[in-house]
Amino acid sequence: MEAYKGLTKERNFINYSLFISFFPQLIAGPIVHHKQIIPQFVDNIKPRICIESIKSGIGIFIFGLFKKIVIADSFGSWADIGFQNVSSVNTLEAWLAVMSFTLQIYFDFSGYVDMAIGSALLLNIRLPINFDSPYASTNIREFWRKWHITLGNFFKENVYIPLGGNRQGGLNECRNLLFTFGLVGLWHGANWTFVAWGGVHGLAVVFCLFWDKLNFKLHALVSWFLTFIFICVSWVFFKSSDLNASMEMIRHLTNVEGLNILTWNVFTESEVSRFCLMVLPCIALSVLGKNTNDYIDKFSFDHKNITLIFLAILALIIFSIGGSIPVSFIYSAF
Amino acid sequence: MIIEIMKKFLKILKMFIGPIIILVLLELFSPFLLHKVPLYLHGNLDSGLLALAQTSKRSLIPEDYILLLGNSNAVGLGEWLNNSRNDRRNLWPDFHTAHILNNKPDIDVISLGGAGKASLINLVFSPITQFQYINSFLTFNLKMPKRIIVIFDEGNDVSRNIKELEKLYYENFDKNRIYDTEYFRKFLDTVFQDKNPYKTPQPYFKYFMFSRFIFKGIKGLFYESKYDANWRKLVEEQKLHKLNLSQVDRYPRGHFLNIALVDNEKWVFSNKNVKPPIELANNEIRLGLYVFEQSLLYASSFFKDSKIDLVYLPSVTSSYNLLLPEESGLSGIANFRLDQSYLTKIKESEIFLVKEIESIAKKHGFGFIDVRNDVKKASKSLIIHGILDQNHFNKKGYHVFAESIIEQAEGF
Repeated sequence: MEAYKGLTKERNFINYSLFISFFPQLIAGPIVHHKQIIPQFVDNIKPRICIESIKSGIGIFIFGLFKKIVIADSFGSWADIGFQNVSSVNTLEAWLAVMSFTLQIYFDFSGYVDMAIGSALLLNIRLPINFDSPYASTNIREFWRKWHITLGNFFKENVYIPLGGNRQGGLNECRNLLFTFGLVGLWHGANWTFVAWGGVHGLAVVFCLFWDKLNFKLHALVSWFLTFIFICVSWVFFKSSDLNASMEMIRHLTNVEGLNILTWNVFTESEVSRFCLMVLPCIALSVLGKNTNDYIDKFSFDHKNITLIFLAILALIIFSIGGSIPVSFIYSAF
Repeated sequence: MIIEIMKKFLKILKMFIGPIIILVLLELFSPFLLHKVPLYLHGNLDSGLLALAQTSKRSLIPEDYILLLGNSNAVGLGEWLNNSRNDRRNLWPDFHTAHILNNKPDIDVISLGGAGKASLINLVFSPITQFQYINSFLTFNLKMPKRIIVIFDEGNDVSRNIKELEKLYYENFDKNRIYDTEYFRKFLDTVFQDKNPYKTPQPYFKYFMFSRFIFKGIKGLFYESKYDANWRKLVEEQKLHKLNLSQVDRYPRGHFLNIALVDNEKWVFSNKNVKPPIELANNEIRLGLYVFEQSLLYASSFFKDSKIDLVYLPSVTSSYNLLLPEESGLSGIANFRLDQSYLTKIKESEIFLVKEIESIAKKHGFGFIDVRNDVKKASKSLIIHGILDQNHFNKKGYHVFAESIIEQAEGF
C-alpha cells in the first residue's frame, strides 16, 4: 500500500526481509508499518544491547505471559463451554460465557502483544502499542481508539480516509464508517458473524455521532457501563459459529426471567466459583490496570515491580506444573 | 566500608522484601489449604501429606473418619481417576470408593493405601508411617480412625507378599523362624526403622511445604511422572474389546484366555489381567496369607481403638463369567492357549482365599465383607473394569464395590 502511494523509501532487501520476518510480531501483530521498524534496524546510534530495554522487555514479557496463561486461558475454557452448548445454557450461564469471552479476548490478545513488545525490547526494538485500556472506554468511538490500535489505524488510513472520511459529513460519513467497520469485521474471517460484529460496531459509532450532536451527557459511570455491556454482547457475534447461534445466545442473555434460575446446566459448580473469584479482579485489571505504554519507558526492578513479577511467575508455575492444556492465541487465526 | 556494604545489603533486601513476605505468608497458610489443592496438582505435594489433600472428607482434619487401607484399589487407581485427573472442569472430583462413602452423610474417609505394593507395605508400613508423619507437624493433629476398612485384593496381595518377603526378609532374617509370630513382629519393627521414607536427616525441610510443592512441580516439568508412564504402558493391544471370530487369526498365539460373557456379548479381556494366585504352590499361598494376617495385626495394634472390617475384593478375572473354549466358539481353532482346567483352578483358588480371609477376620474379631456377589451380579450386564486398565474398577465398578460395602458393613 505504501509502495503504491510512493511512500516507501527502503530498498534494502535484507532489511525488508528482516522486517517481514521479525519474529516477535509475526504471529498476531501488532500490525506495523515498515517506517516504524526498519529505521530502528539501521539506526547506528541506537545500541544493540540496552540494559534498560532488556529490563523492560523481561517485565513486559512476563506480564504478557501471565495475562495469556493465567487469565485468558482460564476464561477461554469457560467461554468455549458456554458457546459450544449454546442451546443448553440458561441466562446466567450465557452471561458467564459472554463475560468470559470478553475477558479472554482482551487478555489473550493484549497478553500476546505484551509478549511481542517485550521480546522486541530485548533486541532494543520498539513495537507500537496496541491497547490502551479499551474496556475503560465510555463510548464506542473511544473504544476503537484504544482497541487493536494498529488495526484501527490501518483501516483509518487505507479505507476510511480514502473513502472520504468525515470530510463530507452527514450520511456520507455514516456510509464510510459502516463500510469501514464492515471491512474490519471481514478482515477477521470470511464469515457473516464477523461482518455482523463489524456492522454492529459501525452502527454504534454512527449512533455515537448522533448522540454527540444531542449534547446530552450521561454520567461517566453509566456511559462506561453501557459501553462495556455493548462490547460484551457484540463479542457474541465474534465468538459464535454462525448467526443463528449468535441470536440464540443473545436470546439467552436477554431472557430476564431466566435470572431467577440459579441452577447450572453446562457449567460445574467448581467452574462457577472460579469464575466468580476471577471476574471482578480481572475486569478491574482491564479497566484500571496499567498498560504497556505506561511502563515501557520507566520500568525498573524496584521492590514493587519485583513483587509483581514474582507473583506472576508463581502463578505461571502453578498453572504450568499440572500440565496445562495449551490454548492457541485467538488472534493468530486472523 | 562496612556501612556501604550494609547499605547495599539493605537496598537488595528492600528490593526482595515483597517476594520474601509473600513466600512466608504462603508457607504459613499452605498447610491449611492442602484439601483445596486441585487433584491434578496432587502429584507435586509432599507424598506423606497426600491423605490430608484428599477430598473424601469435609475438612482438612476430620474428627471421626474411616480409614481405607489396601493397595491401588484403596487409593482409587483406574480409568475414573485418570479421566478426573485430566478434567480441568472439576478440580476436586470424586474418583473412588472413598468419595462414594463420603457422599453418605456424616462419613469422612481417608485412604492410606499404597498402589502396587504388598500387604506388608499397604497395611503396616505406609499407613503407620504416613499417620506418624502427618502428626509430626505442629499444625496437624489427626486422631485415630473410628473404623478401618481393609481391602484384601485377591489378585495381588498374596503374590506380592511373597515377592516383598524376598526383598525384605530373606536376606537378614531366619527363614526357618518366619512362622514365629514374635520373630516376625521384630522383622516388621525393623522394616519400620530402616525403611521409613519420612525420616530424613533434615526434618525441618518438611515445613517448607509451599516451596517444596513449587520445586517438585518445576522438577516434574522435565520428567514424565511415574503415573503417566505406567498409564502409557497400557498398550492398545490389550484393550478390552468384543470377540470377533472372523478376526481371530490376526491375534498372536495364546492371545485368548479370558473371554467373558457380559450382557450376552463375548468380551476379550487381557491375558495379563490379575487373577487368584493359581501359579503359586499351596505353601506359598499360606505364607502370603500369613504375612497378610501378621501385617493386619500389626496395623490393628497401632490403630488399637478402631473397628476393623476386612473386605474381600475379587480380581478382575474372577469377577466375570468366563467362558469355556466351546462356549466362546474357539474350541475348534488351533494355536490358542485354552485350558479347560484354567477356570476350575481360578474358581478353587478364589473359594479357598475367601474362606481363609473370612477365618482370619473371625479369629481376630474383625468384620468381614464379601463383595463378590454384588460384583459378579453387576458384571453380568456391565463392564465394571477399565477398558485399558482392566485391573482396576471403572466408575461403575467403584460404585458397585462401595455400595456393597455400605450395604454389608454394620453401622453404616
